Amino acid sequence: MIHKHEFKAMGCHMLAVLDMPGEDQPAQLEQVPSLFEAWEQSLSRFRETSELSQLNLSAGTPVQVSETLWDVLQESLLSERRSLGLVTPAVLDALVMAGYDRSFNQLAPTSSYLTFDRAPVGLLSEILLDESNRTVCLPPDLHLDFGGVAKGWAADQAARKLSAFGPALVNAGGDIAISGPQSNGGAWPIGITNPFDPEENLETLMIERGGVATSGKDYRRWQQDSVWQHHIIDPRTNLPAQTDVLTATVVAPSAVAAEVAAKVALISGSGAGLAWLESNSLAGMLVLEDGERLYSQRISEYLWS
Amino acid sequence: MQTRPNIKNHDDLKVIITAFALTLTLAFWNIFSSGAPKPVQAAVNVEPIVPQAAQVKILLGGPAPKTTIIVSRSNGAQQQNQPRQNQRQVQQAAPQPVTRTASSK
Repeated sequence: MIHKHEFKAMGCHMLAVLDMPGEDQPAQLEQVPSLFEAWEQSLSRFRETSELSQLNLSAGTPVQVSETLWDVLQESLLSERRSLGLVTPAVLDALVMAGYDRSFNQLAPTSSYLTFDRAPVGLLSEILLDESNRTVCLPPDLHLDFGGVAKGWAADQAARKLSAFGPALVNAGGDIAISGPQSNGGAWPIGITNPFDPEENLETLMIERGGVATSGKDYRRWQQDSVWQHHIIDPRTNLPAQTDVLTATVVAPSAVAAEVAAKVALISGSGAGLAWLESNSLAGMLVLEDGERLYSQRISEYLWS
Repeated sequence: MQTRPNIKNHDDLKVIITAFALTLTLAFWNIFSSGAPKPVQAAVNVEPIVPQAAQVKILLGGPAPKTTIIVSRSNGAQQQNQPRQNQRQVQQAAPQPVTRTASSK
């Protein structure tokens, strides 16, 4: 029996699914929102009282952090290396200067913010870490935003916790973690939303375990000085990525790995992005601005049709 | 007045006799040269033997021996090598997705 629980967290729609016998909603599902609330209180850059905001304010001073923040910071640093620097938490200042200085549902569709310019960027290599007591010291000009890495990490963690009670799936705003096959042994059918018609699915993926995520510039975007901006920053320019890819969907061993890979494909553009997916043997689909769809070789392992 | 004598042309008769003799000769030739008549068998469909791995046929003679290799697969192996999506297409339509992936919403 598939049980579902929907809620809002981290500024996104969330869905937790548990495959358990019985008609009644499992209590374990009801506890998932509180997990996300705790993680958000630690990882959100939009909450002034969050642990991350306090860390960003304390740049230059060693700060002892929670296990959650420590884990996500480690995951972010790992993602930065795997993506050759394209997915980095060091883009907060660029996001703020692009106008993304508050949670997205508070952004007006058309607003005039700061004059758009390149933001100064600190170097991740200058972060001082002490694992023995989990202390972090940011350089003065570096501020962190975990972005999609935090969502993917949270989806993975929640699915792992739920898997103690049965096959589980957690969708954190499009970043989906799957603990294993359904109790009947079947894969989970996952739809890929059409960015041009959100009510429609472009494809259906059949995934037994791991993660799938979509990164795109189709939704979280806003106008600044009559120019459309979006929230995917290209660290090479420190500006919103100039790319012909509208959305990128990737299947990977975990939700956080899928999120990072999708962002790399999006920022890189269709040619380099698809080549990167192929070179890393990843299953992915790119939807270009003109509506064309590009598939990597391995996506056929997951496509229904 | 004497009637005109009935002059008969024997050419037609010669042709008939020759044709009859020729037909008779061919008939006897056919009977004695074909040996004992074979019983008529009903056509039987014999299943071809599918070689397990590779059938090697060597043609001898001629300037140089040539090897012809016929590779065959059983039906099972062919199905296994087909893409999964093709197998599914013959089954049924895509199932209702449990959830969907999209840009952060």
